[in-house]
Amino acid sequence: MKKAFKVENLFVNYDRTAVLWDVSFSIPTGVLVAIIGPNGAGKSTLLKASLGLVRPLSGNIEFSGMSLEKARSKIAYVPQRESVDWDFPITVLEVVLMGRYGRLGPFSRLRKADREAARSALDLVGMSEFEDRQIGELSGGQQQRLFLARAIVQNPDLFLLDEPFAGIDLATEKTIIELLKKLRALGKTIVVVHHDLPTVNEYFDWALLLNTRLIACGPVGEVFHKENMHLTFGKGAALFEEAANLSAKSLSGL
Amino acid sequence: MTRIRKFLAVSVLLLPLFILGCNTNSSTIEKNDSRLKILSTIAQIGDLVVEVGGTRVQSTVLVRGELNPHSYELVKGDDEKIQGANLIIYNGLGLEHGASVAAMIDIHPNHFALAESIRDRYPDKILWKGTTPDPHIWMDVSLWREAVDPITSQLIQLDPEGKSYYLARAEILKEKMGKTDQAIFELIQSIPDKKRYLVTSHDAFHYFARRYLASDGEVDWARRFAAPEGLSPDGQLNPIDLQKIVDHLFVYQIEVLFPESNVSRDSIRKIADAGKKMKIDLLVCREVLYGDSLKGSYLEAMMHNAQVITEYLYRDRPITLNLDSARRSQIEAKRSVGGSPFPIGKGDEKDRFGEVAASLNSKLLAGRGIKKDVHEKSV
Amino acid sequence: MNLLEYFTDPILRAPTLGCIFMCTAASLMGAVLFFQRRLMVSESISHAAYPGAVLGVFVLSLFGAQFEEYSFLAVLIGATISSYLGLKAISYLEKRRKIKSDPALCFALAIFFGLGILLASGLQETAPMWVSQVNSLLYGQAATLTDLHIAIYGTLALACTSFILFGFRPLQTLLFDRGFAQSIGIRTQIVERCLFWLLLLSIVAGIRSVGVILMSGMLIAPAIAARQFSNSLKTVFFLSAFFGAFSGLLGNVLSVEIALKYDQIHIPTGPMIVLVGSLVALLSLLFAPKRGVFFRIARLGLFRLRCIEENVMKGIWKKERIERSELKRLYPNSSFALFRLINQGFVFKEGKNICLTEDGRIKAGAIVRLHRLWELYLTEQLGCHAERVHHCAEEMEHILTPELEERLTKVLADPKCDPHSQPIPQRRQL
Repeated sequence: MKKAFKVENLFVNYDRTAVLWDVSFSIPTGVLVAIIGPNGAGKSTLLKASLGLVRPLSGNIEFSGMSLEKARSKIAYVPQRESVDWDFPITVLEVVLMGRYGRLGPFSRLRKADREAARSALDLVGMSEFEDRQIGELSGGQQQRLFLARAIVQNPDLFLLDEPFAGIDLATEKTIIELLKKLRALGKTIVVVHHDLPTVNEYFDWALLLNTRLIACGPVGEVFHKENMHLTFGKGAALFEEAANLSAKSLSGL
Repeated sequence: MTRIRKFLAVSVLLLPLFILGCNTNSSTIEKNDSRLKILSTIAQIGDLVVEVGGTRVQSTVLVRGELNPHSYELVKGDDEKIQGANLIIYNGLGLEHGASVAAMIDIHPNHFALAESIRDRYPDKILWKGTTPDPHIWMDVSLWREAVDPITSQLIQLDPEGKSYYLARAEILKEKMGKTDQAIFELIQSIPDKKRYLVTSHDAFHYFARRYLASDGEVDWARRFAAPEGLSPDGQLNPIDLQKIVDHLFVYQIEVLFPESNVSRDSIRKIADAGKKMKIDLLVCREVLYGDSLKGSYLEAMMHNAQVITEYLYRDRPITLNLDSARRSQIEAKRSVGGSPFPIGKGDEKDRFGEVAASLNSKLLAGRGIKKDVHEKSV
Repeated sequence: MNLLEYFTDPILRAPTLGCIFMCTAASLMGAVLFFQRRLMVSESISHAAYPGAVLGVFVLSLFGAQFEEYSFLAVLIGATISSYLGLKAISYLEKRRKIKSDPALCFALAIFFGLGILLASGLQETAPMWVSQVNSLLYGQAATLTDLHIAIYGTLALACTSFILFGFRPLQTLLFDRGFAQSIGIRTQIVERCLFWLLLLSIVAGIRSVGVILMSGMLIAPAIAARQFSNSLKTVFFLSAFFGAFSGLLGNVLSVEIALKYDQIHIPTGPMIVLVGSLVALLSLLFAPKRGVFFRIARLGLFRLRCIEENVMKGIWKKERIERSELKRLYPNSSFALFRLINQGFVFKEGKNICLTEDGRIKAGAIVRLHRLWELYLTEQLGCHAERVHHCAEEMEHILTPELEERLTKVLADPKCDPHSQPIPQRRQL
């Protein structure tokens, strides 16, 4: 059985500082995975490098045995909410329809099927009545649900979500996690960059502990314990980061 | 970017600085010379100074070559010229309206406005455009001749020993100028009346028109000269200016455009281009006229102008203007109303912007009074 | 002069059409910059183009005076090169040297423009006849545009319009969410490269008409004006182009008509266009429906008035009837509000007293309900102290919508009393 998301020996640098160092893991299909680590651990970078948004130094990435180019249409990426200009003149429905742009050629029009898919995705996330609203009028939770709807409309096999639970209310959080569990039940693989440690056990099946290097990757019960937490968040781990910083400084002449 | 490419990029950027910097200003005044040092702003004045002063005077000109005297600003090296000069002779009447030049003249203890002295003696002979005086007096050799005496008396004032020397040379110069004036007059007048119309780049030739282009006793001579840019050619054109010229060409059936040596040819090119679209065959003269600048001596340049104008206007070519009826009636209407599309010489016209322009010349004109109700009477 | 002549007369048609096309291209690119939040780049590009333009003229002058008519080409090539270098300098400063975008833009602008001025004064020494070509670059010279320029600007406008039209979807996605755009396979690098060159060419070509100093105005003003009118990206682009073209046309018309009417006032066309564009932007900011300052102030005024009216009604409701003088004492600014309430039929006068009508009583009751519901919500659900909630409820009672009221009722389980043990008026059953 091909792994949904397989990474081998991934090295990513940013300005001569190592952000990801020799990261290797593989995630099977149909699991809900939390990527956990301290700030600056490279969690977002891991997602970005997998999608080609950031160029890695070296490494091999496979999606169900296929390269990124072949698998692109089956991957949905939900970036951080703050990366977007919420003052942009666009309605909720138009944002969801954007999910369909990937599979349209430059000259093909959006068809009725696309619009219906968008509407049903909005219905799934409970945002149907906001269809014609400007995105600037949405609350944080509504914005996140909108992004999720856009991802759903892409009909992917793999979801990559970057900090979806940051800065949203509890009710929305519950709604979203229910939705993710439903998607998992349909056989989708969902990878989430997560920051709230207490909820890991409750929400997720698998956990990927990251702090520039991979600490552990596996079912929550197996890897999410004190020793690994110490390795990820503890002082021992911080040492590596300090050393990396020093190296970066001396290489830039400071 | 590799080091080599960086180096190349930087040197490409800095290379022009080296090229331009290589042009050193070679005409500096030597301080140890015992001759009188006269600084003239324009070459037309400098030439006269050389002729009158001879070996007793070292003359330098501020605005060299093809530079525009109207908007000239001081550059590196001018300071030394100014400080070393015993006397600065400038044109005045608003010609040198670059702020640094005006300030420089004011500061210098000894400065003299040549055109303004002519104006003081012959106020009627000065032409006005609205409330702005036209400073291009040198285009009329007979009037510029009147500049010789003031120059002579200034030189005598500074160097009383050379009095007889200067006076003798002044006489020779005045005679030469008289002869040239007559020659130019005859040359231009040989052009048939119908063809004797001049169109150049900017308003430098009004005095020329009044003296040489006008037929005997003609009052309406102003129509014989037109140009798209105003008294000071700074390029801020309005399409109306160009249209007026084209209409003028039609009304008087003019076929030749004369570019000037130091004014941009854009406006002339555009007029010729528009003419082509309207099916008139306009000829742009291949030679340049000297309006604001000189080549060779002043008299040579004036003679050159006359020769070029005569040659190009006197061609025996059939008039090939093809007007469509609508345009023709428009023009006939304009002709019947009469008058010149380019009011010149009427100092009593309401000219709001002329006031603005005049106030900008305040440094040079302050204290000398702008005579608003002076208009030119026929010579 | 009738309008058609501006498009047919051989002298007028080139400036008019040329400027219209040029402004269309510039304003479309300006709209793109607006959504990328990088409008000031246009200022840096136009100023960085100056030294290259001067150098171009200088190089051409070396070939001889007869090539003066090719100045346009020399200026175009030189300006493109130096503004390209300027942009590279800016991106180098931002990316490699970690300098923030504002100082990087200013640095490039000042250094390049200063270099240009230096070169221009040097040109005075070496090739004085060409100086006038260079001087006209600062403020442009639209009047002497020829039919060739119509073709050039027309092509540019066509390129910009086609790009935005045919590439609308990738452009929209890119401008909204760059990361997402890349993730779905949009070739963001190619799109951004095309935008880069279209922007560069629009600015560099426009310098001939409007000049280095004012060019950025033609990018900024139409974009700002357009944004005030619409919440749809397509409409904003369209309006940008429209306002740009309109400024180009009106600028030409006004400069000619004013010169015709007042013989001595000569306003050059380029600056006039920018003036018109800026005026359009200003009027849009003030008077656009919905977002315009004027309407916002009006709406705010109406809201405040409504608050006073509702407060007055509440005050009367609590006491059944109130004396005129006492009302004036309690609500000092209420005379106009009272007048309106009487007109609207919520209130009537009875001798010295003011009373609520039947409708007024219902409406006042609804407001009091909102006030007390909100107080209860704050104390019960959010744990606020009862003494503190009054002030907040005073504001919220005017703002809560019927939908929110319904949800409040549900959440609080249809309460009967507020935290101060006062009865909550029941909802009117329709």
